[in-house]
Amino acid sequence: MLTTDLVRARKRGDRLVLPALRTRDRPRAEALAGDLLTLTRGAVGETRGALREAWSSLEHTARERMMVRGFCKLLEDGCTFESAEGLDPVALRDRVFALAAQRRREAVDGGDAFDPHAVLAQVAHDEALAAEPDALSRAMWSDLKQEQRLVETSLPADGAALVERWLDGRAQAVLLRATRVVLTIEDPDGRDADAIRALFRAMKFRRLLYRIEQLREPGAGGASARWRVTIDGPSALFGPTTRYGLGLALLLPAVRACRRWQLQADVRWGKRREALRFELDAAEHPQPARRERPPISDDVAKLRASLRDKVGDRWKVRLGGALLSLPGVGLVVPDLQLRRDDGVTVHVEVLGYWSREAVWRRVELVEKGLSGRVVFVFSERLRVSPEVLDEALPGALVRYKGVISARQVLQAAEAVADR
Amino acid sequence: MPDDAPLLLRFSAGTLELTAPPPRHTGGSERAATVLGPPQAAALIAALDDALDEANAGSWQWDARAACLRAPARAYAPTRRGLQALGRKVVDEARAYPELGATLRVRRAPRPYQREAIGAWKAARCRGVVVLPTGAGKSHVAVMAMAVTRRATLVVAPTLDLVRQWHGLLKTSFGCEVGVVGGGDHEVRPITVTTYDSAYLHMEHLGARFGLVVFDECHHLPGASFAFAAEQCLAPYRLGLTATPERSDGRHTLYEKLIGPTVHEQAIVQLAGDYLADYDVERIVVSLTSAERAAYESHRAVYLGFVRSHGIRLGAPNGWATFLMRTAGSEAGQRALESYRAQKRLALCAEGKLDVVGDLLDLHRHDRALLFTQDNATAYAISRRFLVPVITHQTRVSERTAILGGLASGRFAAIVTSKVLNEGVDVPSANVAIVISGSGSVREHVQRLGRVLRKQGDKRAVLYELVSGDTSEQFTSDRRREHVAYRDPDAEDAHAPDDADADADADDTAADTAADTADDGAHTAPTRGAPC
Repeated sequence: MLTTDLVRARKRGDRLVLPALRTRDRPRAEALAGDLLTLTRGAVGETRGALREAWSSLEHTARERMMVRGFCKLLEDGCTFESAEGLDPVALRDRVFALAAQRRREAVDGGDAFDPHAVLAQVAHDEALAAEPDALSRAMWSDLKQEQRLVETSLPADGAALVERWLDGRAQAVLLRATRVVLTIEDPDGRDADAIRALFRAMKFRRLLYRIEQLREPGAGGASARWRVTIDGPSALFGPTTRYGLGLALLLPAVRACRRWQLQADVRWGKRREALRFELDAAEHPQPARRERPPISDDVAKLRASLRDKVGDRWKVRLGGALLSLPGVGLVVPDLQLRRDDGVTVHVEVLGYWSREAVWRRVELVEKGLSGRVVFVFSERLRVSPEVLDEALPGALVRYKGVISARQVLQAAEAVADR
Repeated sequence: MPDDAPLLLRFSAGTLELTAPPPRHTGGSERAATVLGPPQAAALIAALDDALDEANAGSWQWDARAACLRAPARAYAPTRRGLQALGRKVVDEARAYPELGATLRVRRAPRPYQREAIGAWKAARCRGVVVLPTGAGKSHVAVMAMAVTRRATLVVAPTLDLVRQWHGLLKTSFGCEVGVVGGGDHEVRPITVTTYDSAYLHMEHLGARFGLVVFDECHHLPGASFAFAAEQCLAPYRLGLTATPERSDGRHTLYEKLIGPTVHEQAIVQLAGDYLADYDVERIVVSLTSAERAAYESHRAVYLGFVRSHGIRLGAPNGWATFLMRTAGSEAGQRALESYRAQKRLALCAEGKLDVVGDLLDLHRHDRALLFTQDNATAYAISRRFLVPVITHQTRVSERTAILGGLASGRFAAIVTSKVLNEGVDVPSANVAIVISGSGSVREHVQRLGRVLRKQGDKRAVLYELVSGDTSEQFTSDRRREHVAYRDPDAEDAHAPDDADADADADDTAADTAADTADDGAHTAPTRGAPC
């Protein structure tokens, strides 16, 4: 990941803007990135210092300097360096320095000048090192970072891929200084449930807190569901802090896995930590691997098909469409939405084989007042009895063996719809 | 929720959460009784605000994200007292620190000022800052505080060298294993030592596990990031130790909130002779060689030419940032920036300085000398040239220990370092400090002097400061000597630069002020610079 010192962002009013890489500049950027890649691939066996020197020899303009530094950082992140094997450099230094201290005392006390070369020659002789003058020096300092040798690389395929990584890295570097992120997510056809679940799991893993507002219900006319999620951390309640910037920056890949999103971050930028707004959206940062429709799980696809066969006119079945949150307790991202002809909606989440704990967490959510009616579907292997959920509550558990029974799910939905 | 229902106090990610306890705590089964909603929360916040002291009033807020009341962890002790005053029962799941099982094994008679300091600290509810000069035994004050409070203790120090030093001291003093967090270690014990960087990273997990927290060299703490570590820790007892409490950004006013009031203060000159070694300060001005002078003037002309042609006032509050911004977008700007760096490098690493270093190493061949540079590259260059051990952020703890041990025993007569030994590291036998190059930071300079002031026998310490004559470094040197510790009146004959130079020299001040105030891990991160 890039660090903030490797990013040049411009202030426009109260906004912080990353200069776009213009189409006409892209070939040159890709060429530079390609040259740096070539230098890096050819440097296996060389020292880190030599690699850095090779990079610095690449000619570029003042305007390209920051970009080149960014490329180098990303390339170095993909390099594995190791110290050379051989004589123990720490022990060697200890011997040289101790002998030097002794020789200096003896020489100056005797009225002579101290000769460091004589010390080096003595130790080189004792260690039977090669006669070349640099041999001892190389051995003495072989553990220093700049003396470590490049042994392995894991690099982008080509210059274009490195440029893409750099563009993402710039955005993440700005988010390192974020105090809060407001994310607007849209699920065009209800197929992003997995991506959205992964996003909230990532927030939980990073110990971030969120607040969700539903901006738009999925409409019959094809309007997709839209939510606003405000993300920061516990201490952000007492004032803006960049403490959670790393967590927010690391969310970006999970955000990009969704198809439609806009991100607005409050950042503190520059030495003076000026409060600015930073914006990103899916159009600027598409997820290449997810441009096509993301798949939905087999279980969900089959259940949807079976439900459609069974519901007749009484229920309408659609994918996703809701985020059910109970602050302080948790969140449910349903896979399906069943809407009865009287307007009552029941959500369905397919837990499958997830974990026993996941089922218990959902029981707790319903017990503590989760908004909305939900049916949770899980495998009998998770060993949870459907009876643990009180019949009076607006939730139900459906346990299945082998194949999910659409009939059972529908029965549970009918029961829950009337609570 | 009824007003007399018990409350649940929890530590969560560096904050405190106040909620209604789940049924298992109330012993009942009514779920409705466990809800703490916004109306009850508002009444509770108002009551707490009345009950808390000025520094902590306003700490508690309703958090709709998690449906609870939330406050910074530092409000723990006042909140417990406040809830008690309100007559509210509390189920305390926040506190996770034990009493200290280990007792003090090595008892040293405290010096009078150490006894006064600990007395004043106890009188302030075991919270506050003690200001003592380097070498006056600040760490012994911390050991006394641990013996007084007998609570699990976290010591936070700025560098890994200091962590190593504290580790040794506490292990010997209490005869128990001591945990370390930082530098690749993560072992938490009832007595644990960590760095400010690690405290910032891990306090949201560690913040409930210690009853006493000691902030060594606490002038680092008020920086925006490190202050957060103090906010996220619930330790009721807090001790700050420093020789140089003032910060050029004025944030030393935050000590009161983060640690406590300044409870005791002694200056170097009050203790010199009796409790600290007597010392001399000698400034050695070296001349640039003719080639260096020509290069220096040439680079300076390029750099100042750019500054003047763009109307940049480097002495203005944002002057340095403006200069950097203007240099970014043009070839001429890049040349100016390179020239700025080159002229500075020439002044800091003049060949004449290295000749003097050689002479001083000869002169003090039977002493124990610490050589300080502004950057790691120069430290390594000196190590290679004069064959003296070098300590930087890259030096592993085992090698650092061996090098410091070698200096103490006389196996080595000198060590060269850039900034990692600037603060706190205890080398009692060191009696010579040679500042080859440094920033304009008063704090850095006083701390470097402090390395050789620890009293040992009739030791007399000397600090040499090498300065390139007729360069901007003289201005830098004048700035860093603005402290009572530099009492040689002859050294204060101010270099009087003309207006343009004075303005240009402010670049050092601007950059150094940033270094002085930033808590960006300068002590554990590499410093940049080319070898001379």
